[in-house]
Amino acid sequence: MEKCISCTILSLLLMMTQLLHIPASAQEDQTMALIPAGTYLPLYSGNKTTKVPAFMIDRLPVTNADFSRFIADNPEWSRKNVKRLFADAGYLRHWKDDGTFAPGIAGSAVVNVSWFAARKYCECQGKRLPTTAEWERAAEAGRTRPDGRNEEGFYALILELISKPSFTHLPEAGTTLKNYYGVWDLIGVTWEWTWDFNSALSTGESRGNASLDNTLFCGGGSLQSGDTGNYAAFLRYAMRSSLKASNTVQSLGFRCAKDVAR
Amino acid sequence: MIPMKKFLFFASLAAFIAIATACGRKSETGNCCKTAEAGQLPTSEISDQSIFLLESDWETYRNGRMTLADLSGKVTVGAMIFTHCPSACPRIVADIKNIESALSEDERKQVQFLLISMDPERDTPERMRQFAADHRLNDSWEMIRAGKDATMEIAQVLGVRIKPLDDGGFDHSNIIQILNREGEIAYQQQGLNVDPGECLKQIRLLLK
Amino acid sequence: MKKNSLPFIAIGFITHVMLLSACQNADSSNDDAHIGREYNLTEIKGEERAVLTPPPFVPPPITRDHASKVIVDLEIIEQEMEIADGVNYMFWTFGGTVPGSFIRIREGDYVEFHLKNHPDNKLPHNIDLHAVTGQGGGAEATFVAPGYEATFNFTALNPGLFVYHCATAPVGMHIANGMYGLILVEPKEGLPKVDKEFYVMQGDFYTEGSYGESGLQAFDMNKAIKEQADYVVFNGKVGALTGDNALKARTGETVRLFVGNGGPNLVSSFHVIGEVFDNVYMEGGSLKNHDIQTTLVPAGGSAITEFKVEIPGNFILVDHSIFRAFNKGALGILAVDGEENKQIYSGKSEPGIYQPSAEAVKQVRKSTEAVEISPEQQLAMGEKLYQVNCAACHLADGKGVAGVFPPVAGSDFIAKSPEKAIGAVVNGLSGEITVNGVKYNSVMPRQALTDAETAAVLNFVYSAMNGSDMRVTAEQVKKARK
Repeated sequence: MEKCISCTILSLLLMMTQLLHIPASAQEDQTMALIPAGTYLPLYSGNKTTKVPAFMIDRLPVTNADFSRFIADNPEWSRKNVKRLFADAGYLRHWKDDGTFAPGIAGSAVVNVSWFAARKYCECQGKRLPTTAEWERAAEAGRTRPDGRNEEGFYALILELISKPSFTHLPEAGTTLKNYYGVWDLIGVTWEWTWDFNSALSTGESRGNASLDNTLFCGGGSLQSGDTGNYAAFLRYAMRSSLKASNTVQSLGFRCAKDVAR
Repeated sequence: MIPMKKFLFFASLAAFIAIATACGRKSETGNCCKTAEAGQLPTSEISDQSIFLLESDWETYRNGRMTLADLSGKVTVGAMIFTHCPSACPRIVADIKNIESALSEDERKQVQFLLISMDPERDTPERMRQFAADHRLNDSWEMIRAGKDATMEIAQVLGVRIKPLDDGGFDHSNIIQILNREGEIAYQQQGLNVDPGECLKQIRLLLK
Repeated sequence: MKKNSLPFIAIGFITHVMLLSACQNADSSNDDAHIGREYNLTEIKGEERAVLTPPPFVPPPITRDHASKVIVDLEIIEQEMEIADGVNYMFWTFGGTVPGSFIRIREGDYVEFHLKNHPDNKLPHNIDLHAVTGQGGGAEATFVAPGYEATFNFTALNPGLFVYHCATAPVGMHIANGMYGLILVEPKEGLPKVDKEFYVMQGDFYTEGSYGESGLQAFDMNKAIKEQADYVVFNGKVGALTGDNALKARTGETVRLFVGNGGPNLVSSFHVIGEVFDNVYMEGGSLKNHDIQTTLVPAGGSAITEFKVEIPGNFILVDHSIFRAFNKGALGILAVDGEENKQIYSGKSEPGIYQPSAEAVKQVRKSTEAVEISPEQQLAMGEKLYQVNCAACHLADGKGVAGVFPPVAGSDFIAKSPEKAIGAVVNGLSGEITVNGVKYNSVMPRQALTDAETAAVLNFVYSAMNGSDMRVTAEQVKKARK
């Protein structure tokens, strides 16, 4: 509890020092990339695009080292203390019992974290989880163009990355694929939580329209899809929809986003 | 409800808001978002699976405020709905009222009914009040809303999937939730217009 | 009649109606009673765990005379395996094999199905069992993230041989990666007893490299969409049912093949070369057809074929869309040993002589003649040529077949006279000869080998099979040609 108070004071002090400085513009943030306002075509929307306002997104996924610092400050999120409501028994199971982990993975994306934990982590950085629309818009970018669909071989590349076996050891964050916006590892390393991960479809519709039900299964999967060739996006949507917020999966991590400072 | 407990809640809430504000700024030396959760709240009294663990702050249709832990002590029958909902939500409300009317006088004293808005932007307390009046909800009923993020959080906890639609409405799961006195989900009834038999059975199990 | 398992109730209903009318048109009136018949849900007695088997094996027949509760535990494993020798593919599997584990239950059984998605897997999956009457065939109920397990229950209403497969979007990719298998719902009265049962399932695969290109080959979405398969195989691999892996039976035995086709795209024209199916349960249902040469197995469908093997030999399983068998791997072998039955099949009779002129046979392959090669290279070349041109009759070890094909290893005929040996190769040989004291009277046709190749193959025979220093030159061969 003492720690908490000192922490609070520290935070307040930092806040004040930040107020004294002219805050650097968000766009120049070294750790976050600016994704300009634009449109995005959700996979299950027919052909209706969604407007996505400009936002900032972490260039790198949250690493084991990052997450352990968060737990040091917030011990109620440790493996030992976490409430079952917020994370199931697999939470951080790749860590040792005492909350440490193999030194080799400090810089790799943290996995086996629940949506609740990821959301809390971002909140504590003054950020939030990206929405699915934001995440997909960032991931739409190719290596050299803002729209990967126009980039030769990009779909095939991401599909190949996704089809590869799971990593036994995840690579260091920021060493695989960097996209046009300077965001790393969006594709092929881990899946990532989004704020509204399971709202792509619902079961039991409010409109009594049963045909909306099963869009993720069999033929239904492509029925409403805007882009039936985007298999990687199908895989991501399927993955997100299979999850519950307390789930922890060996190949599922996250990164944070925030609104653009006005 | 023990007054002391309530006091602690508000105290912790105040602390939380203060810290949350502090956390709104990014710092370079590591961030602390430590809330009162682990320290001050008697969380040991709250079960690991209880929705009372959620810290969110809720507005009621009577212009009051509450936390979910205020639901403690009674069995709760609830659902997530929105007042602009054309058909499904009124049906859910009707289904819950069916359950209510099937309960005995004595049973009703130990049960409360809860509607949680999935549309906090449009479901103002006034709007919710109108909805309550239209549906003749009695004093055993509560209808609440919170911020967008807290709404998403409770939807996740309750396993309700919500898909926003262009017209401002939602596609959503239709689930009647039955919580025990400790705030744990005891039973979930999926679907519309279902026979209240199974819900009643589950409620009576909890009342024993 | 098979119920539908389409995802949409409305479509499903229409299909159902269509199926019903099709049925009425096609068959006699007693099938009317079959439609919408009361499923006699008998009492469930006892509980057991289903025995699951990897292909080509099939769990033992069910001997119960009553329905039981049956627990099925199926684990999803994504793993790299060989799709052909030296070619790897990232398979997604039910039970670690392609096709997935064979499940055998009885009509009326109440099944508790556990689908476990291994934590090392990358993707969510589910299962649609065509044997299930209910939405999605269980797909929605079993949709499960890596590291989790889904459970659902169903009663097996219709008997038959049914396909199961993953139905998670993009469904084609999940199936193309190997996520299918068979579940047999035995009819109440059971299937007639046979001596051998096997599990064979076809699938088509789409790889970035073309057929045979080695290394780890990724799934090629564009080829899959165009339905241009690189591999069409039985039981998940080129050669899964050949060589040591061939299915085995003895003459006089009855054989039942549970044949499935996972697709995702191609329809199989299933045929066993040299056999006629005595019975085919068409499309895996209860209609039994007889005396069938080739049966159509639709993608996502099945057939049960039964026959008695009368004759020893290798019976080749193919997709009779025959380029798939020869160029894409759709080939398996049922190896039958036992007694000959000359009455049914004579085997090869004494061949007559048919030797067109040398010019017609001779193949010009100058390239190999022009190149100077070392003795070691010549031996290596000779060995290869031997295996291709000679081993079929004289056998790989050169020992021959007593009384039919004389030995070339440790052979006095060869040792005594290189001229005769050369002559036999380049001009052919017929009439009686004596080798190692045994008389032979058969025909050896002239071999279409160049002078250098003939020298190489004979030098291999002298050196490796006769321990002889004798060497033949291309010059000698040239002179010996008639």
